[in-house]
Amino acid sequence: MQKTQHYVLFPNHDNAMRLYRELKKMGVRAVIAPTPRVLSTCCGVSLLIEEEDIERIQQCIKEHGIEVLKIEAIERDINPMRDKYC
Amino acid sequence: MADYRKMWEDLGMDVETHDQLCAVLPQAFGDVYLSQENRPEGMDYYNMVVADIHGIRPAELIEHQKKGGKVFGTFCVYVPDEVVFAADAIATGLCGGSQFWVPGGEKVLPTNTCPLIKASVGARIDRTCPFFRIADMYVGETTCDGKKKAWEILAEDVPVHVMNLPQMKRAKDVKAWAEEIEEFKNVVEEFTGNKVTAEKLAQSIKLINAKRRALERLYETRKSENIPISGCDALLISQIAFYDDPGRFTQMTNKLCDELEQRIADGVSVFEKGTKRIMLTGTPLAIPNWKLHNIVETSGGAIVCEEMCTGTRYFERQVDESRETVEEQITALAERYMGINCACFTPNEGRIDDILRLAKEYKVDGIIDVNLKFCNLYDTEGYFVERAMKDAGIPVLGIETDYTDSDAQQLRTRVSAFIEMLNN
Repeated sequence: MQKTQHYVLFPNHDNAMRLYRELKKMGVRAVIAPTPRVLSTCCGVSLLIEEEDIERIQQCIKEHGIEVLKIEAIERDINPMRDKYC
Repeated sequence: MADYRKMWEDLGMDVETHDQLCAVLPQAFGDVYLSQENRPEGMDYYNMVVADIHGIRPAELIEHQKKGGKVFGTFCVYVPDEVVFAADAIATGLCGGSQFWVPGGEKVLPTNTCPLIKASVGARIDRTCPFFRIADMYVGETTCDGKKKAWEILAEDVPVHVMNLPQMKRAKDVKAWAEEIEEFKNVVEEFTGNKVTAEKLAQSIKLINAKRRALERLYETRKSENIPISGCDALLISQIAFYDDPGRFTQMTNKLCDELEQRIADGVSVFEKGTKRIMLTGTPLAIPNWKLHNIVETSGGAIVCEEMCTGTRYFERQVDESRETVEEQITALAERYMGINCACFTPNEGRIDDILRLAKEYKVDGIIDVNLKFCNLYDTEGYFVERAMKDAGIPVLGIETDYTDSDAQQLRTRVSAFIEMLNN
């Protein structure tokens, strides 16, 4: 299990969906996810990506003029046994 | 990040308190959903809906209002959305599924009220949910005593129309429900200024039937020996069905079903072969109540069906699309909706029949009868449910819980023991 996770953060969900669609066309793995609290205090959509794909993703962002806030790495903090619901 | 603070402030929300809910959602969602292996790609749509749960759809509803449209908030699967959409209005579910809203509800309701009602009232009076702020009118019903009194409290703050749901299922009760729907239609027409014509109602009946068929198709895939989607994911879809745009929801759910059916053809399952198949029956699991599903599916079980309002009660059976006049269409609506089997009816043997039928259809190994604390109706009916399952030789576990995390470990112990018993 990887220890870090990489997220692409966006100014709005439209840009997130644009990048998501482009990445799917390219066959690059990306999961739409809520932005982790440690990365932003706003609720919102981000893309969970694989580290090895970052370069291709950055290229895609540039090529399609997609607005992105940043790509951030955080320590993986997912635990289905934590039993902290909301 | 998309910043909806301005929109929330304009809605009169308590943005600071609401921020506490935003703070915990990503972690809970990550634990329950992003932890899963081999999730269907089509779940990304529902991830997006949750990620911006208080942003994207509320913004759409506000846009609708800016164009003069109305939004109706509903709390029950007996309220016919078709009537609302036929008046060019939007219906959105308002049931609260988070402990976050419960203390707010307890300010005005007795503590021994079910958490769903407390959360729903709390979300309104604490001003911490945009959907509760946006809805122009709430539509209540008489499905339990707690709700009946809650409507009176809410009506001091927001327009509320209460539909009087009969408590028996004789022919005259179906007729009475048709009359209630007729009265509701009149209220909706007056409130929106739009006439519900036979043509408009026929369109909205088709719209909502299509949503039901998409959900039915989704559930059909869960009958497969190779289960292509987790119960957690199926629950999330059911929860989102209550407030998403119905046309878009249907399209996205059908797209997901294409993927799931391909998985079945390819022999792909998200569970190991031999994982015990569990059906849940009981009270609704409103968003974001994912506790029991997560516990079951991380304790060696696979949830394959929910005989719940957030489950089969919501989508089974269509409204007859062949009726031509508004009166006939209303009769068709009454017939379909009165076919739902809720514990508020006496007697309610149809629900036992449903559970036994579903247990066969979904090839379940065991049933969990789960009821929200202080839901007297479902708790009492549990006597018949559990007896009928025992008579049919279906192992059953009765659980009473609420929205807090405090009983999670105890639930894990009980659920694990139940699944272990099924495995032996």
